Amino acid sequence: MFSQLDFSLTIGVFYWLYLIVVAIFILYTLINYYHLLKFGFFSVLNIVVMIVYAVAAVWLVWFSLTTLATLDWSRSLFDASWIAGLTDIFSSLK
Amino acid sequence: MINLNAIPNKRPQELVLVHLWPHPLVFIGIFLSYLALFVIPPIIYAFINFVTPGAFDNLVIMPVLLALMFAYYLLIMVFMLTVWMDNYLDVDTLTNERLILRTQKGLFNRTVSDIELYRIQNVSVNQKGLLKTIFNYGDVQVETAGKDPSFTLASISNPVRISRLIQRLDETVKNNRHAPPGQI
Repeated sequence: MFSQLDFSLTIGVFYWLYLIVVAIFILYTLINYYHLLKFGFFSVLNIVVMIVYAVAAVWLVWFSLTTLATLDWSRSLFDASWIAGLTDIFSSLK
Repeated sequence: MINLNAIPNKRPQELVLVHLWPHPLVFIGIFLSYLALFVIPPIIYAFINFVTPGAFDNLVIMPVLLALMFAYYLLIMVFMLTVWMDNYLDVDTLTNERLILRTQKGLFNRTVSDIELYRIQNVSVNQKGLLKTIFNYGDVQVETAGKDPSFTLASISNPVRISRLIQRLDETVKNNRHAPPGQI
């Protein structure tokens, strides 16, 4: 039975996980902004924090999405080469 | 955003005297601790790359680690914003009639309460530690006759001055309450 299952998982799983994190990031950012705008006092510091955060957040999301979009996500997750690579790293740390 | 003079259920003769946020050093400390978290991935990368040159050239490891690293940075950033929001919205306001306490705990827990100044029984200052002494900030503990017997104004600037101000206002409010109506 199990031999008929397709285990062709690709590393694209991590790309999808990253996109889920981006969605969570945007959702929580909007909730935080809602609180700051609704309950926060009108102060220069609060506005500066919100603007700096917005600029940094947009840049980070844009930069990460464009960087990750250029990579090949079709490789198999169970490709033995990366396990060998990890083994190399851990053995060199000993 | 709220105007600095806006308080919940404002009374006709009520004046906002001071808003009490945690000392800026508290915010700087939190910011620096999160900044340290930002530096961790480059340090790990540089270390592994130094020990095993070319370890990240693998076409499977590299995209996965990049995705994890970006996800890590996004989560750190949103935690930073949440901590800022959490602390910035923890603001207490002293008026000439009452003390308004606003507490934000996380994203979905916000409490606003107020204490009449005439209920205050005792005010004490707790300013322990080198940083608190040098930068003049600390806790002011206020004991009241209400159902919540005591509360703390945590890590506020000039705690001694604020405690004296609360005591002076408390005396004024109590004198006015006991004075005949014509003398107020």
